[in-house]
Amino acid sequence: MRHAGVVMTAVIFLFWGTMNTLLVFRERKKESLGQYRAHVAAFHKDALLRERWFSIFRKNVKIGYTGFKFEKVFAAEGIEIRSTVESKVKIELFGASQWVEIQGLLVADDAMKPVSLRLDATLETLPAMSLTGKREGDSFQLSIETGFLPPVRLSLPLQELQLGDAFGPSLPIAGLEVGETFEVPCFDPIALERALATVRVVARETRSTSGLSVDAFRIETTFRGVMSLSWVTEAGEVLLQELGPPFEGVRLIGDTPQNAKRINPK
Amino acid sequence: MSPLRSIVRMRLVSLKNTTLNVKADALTKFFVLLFGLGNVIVIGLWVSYESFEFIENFPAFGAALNAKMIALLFFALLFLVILSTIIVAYTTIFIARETDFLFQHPIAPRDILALKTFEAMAFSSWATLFLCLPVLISFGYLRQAPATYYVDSAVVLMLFLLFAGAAGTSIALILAPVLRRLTLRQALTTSALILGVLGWVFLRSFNIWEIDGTNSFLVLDRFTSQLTAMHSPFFPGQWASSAILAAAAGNRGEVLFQASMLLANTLMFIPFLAWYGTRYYGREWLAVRSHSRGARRGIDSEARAAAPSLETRPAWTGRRGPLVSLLLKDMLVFVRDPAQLSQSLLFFLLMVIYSLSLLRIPKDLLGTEKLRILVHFANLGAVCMILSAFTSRFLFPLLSLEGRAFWIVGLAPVRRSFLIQQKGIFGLGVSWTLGMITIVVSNAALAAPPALFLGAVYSVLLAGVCLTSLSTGLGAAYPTFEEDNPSRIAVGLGGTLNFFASALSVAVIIALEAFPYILASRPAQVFQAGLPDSPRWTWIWLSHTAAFAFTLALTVFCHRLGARSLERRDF
Repeated sequence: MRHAGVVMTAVIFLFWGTMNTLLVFRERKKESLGQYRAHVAAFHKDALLRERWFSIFRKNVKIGYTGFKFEKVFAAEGIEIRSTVESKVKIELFGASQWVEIQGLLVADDAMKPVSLRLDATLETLPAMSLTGKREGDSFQLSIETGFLPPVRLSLPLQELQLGDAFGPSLPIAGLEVGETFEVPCFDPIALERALATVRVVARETRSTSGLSVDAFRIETTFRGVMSLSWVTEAGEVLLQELGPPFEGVRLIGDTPQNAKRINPK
Repeated sequence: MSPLRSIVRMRLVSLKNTTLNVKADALTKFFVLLFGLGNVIVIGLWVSYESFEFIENFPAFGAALNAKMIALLFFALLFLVILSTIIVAYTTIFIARETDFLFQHPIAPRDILALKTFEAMAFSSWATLFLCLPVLISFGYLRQAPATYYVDSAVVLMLFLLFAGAAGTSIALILAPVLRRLTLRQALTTSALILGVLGWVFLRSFNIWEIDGTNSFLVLDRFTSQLTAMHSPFFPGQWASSAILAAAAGNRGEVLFQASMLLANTLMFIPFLAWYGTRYYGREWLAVRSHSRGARRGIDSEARAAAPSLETRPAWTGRRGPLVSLLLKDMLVFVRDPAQLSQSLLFFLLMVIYSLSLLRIPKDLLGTEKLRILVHFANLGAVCMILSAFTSRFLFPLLSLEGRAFWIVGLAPVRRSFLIQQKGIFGLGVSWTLGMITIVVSNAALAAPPALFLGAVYSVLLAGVCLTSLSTGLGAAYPTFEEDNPSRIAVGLGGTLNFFASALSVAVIIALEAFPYILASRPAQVFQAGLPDSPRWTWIWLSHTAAFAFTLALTVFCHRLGARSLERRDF
């Protein structure tokens, strides 16, 4: 009892020291992350699940929707980032206009390197395609199955990987600064290829959305020769995405899930 | 048994005895208060839910802006609670009469400091706790947060308030040697300067002049983004807001980390306060007391030297009647109390900010006749509620603040009811002045048509009378002469009853004044079916008369209630 005060004071100092040291280490760790991973960390921040939904228009006619979910899961193996894509869009493919439906799930580790992948693509004129992938040693093994061809196996280097829809990747990034440029490996579910997406933060502009003015970063993304312009808020919400050739006239407008999914497939 | 435990036990026994002595009418009052508090919480829940939902529904940036609103809430609360605790802690720890009493007993200064710190923290943050909890609950409900969110948010809010309270108390202790050396004029000038600079920086950073209907959210978004301190991971407000957002998202690990950060940094104040209590508190308390007595002697001698004697007083000044003497006494006591003066300055700043904000009201809001009338009565309600807060905080405690010296005014050759009238005249002078300035400026900003303008002025005059009558009447009916802290008197049973009665009377006056406009906005068939199709002006005059009759009846009732209670009272 005599030394209770001293012990309590020591415990308080120890607790304070531990917590503040942990905070400093946490911030240092964030600073030491690569540019892309730092932006992904800023995107997730306190939230475990974030969603992005777009209505897709071509020349002011709605041609589909696409949605991305980014979920942070505390699994037994460590932190997992689960990216889900759900997309339905009418595009010109193999000389015909047809509906393409994509559903996929990419599980990545804390370093954004892929652990597993499952992606199903359905086209009107072709049999369904299924793509699965899993980590094996220092590589990521992909298996592509179609109804009319024998399974194809691909081996990718174990690097950061992002999912995209029919038009390109939608990167879970926030906390951008004008002048930044970085490259992210992305997987194209239509071409079934991995390629680097180059992202350049061009300017900060005021955009109008839902009748209100919002500050956003204008981002140029180049992926497989297609250049797109996106307007992304400080918190990582995409207000608008405009695609260049061969998808000229296609605009992806940020929307609620209910509104985005409201399309007439005919 | 340790002295601190004895004091705590004494407080508990006192509380138990008070509870046991509760009579039927006191129980009724308690339930009225409970009902009123319940209403405040329900209204808080509804208003905050509607606001969060409105913002959340903007696609792409609504959710992010709501998150920033939560961060802004904790940012503002941190400064407000710290500022409030500095004022309350300084008066409670160094100036309060009970502290003198405790120092006369064999109690260690450290124990007195612990007790007074706890009291100061509780008094400066209980209202914040009650008002913020509904906001956090509605945010969680909107985000469909898991059940654990509600427990987490309550714990985080309590930890945050403890941190702000402990920080405010520590700052008050550090500033005490400076504060006691300042004269009243120096203290006033310094506070006005600090408040002025802070207010200017705040309004400038908010870019309030740029706000209009289309870009108000943009300005708000830019303001919240530009406050770098608000987003710093080392800022206590950020710990609290991150914990709340993480709790809403079900991220328990993050909640635990951020709440632990708050707890660790709050606990660090304990060794500091204990060390200060043991080493410096007794000495500093003596210094403050002796300095204030020295200053008092200085003021008295200066006053004696400056004041002309009865014989030499110029003939034109005449003899002061009881009314003028008591008014001058009240004014002098008011300006000499640093807590009253500093809080009234804050109050005045609030009124200025409110009036200025109306200069930039979105013009779309005044587009139609219906909206114009809606905004007009909303403004009238806001001005009356500000007045109500003023009378509840500053006028209600006026009679109780006579304290143990009540026998002096009690023995004065005037009727006891005259004391209520005198306090009423004092209160009416202040509330009418403040109310008139605010209602005239706000109606000019809203470009109100003459009929509405004059109606608003008339309503504020009546509201001023109602609120003053309630505060002085109920202040006399439920005085607390033992208490010398006006904040405590205002939040006591009588004070809270007065607050709700004031809100109700404001609601009645506004409802009566708005009645003709509500009638006019109804479809014609309703008029024909249920109500006479009379000219609008008749209804307006009738409503003015009804509001006047209500004010008169309330004033007479409050005056009689207060006078009867005061006449029966012994010293």
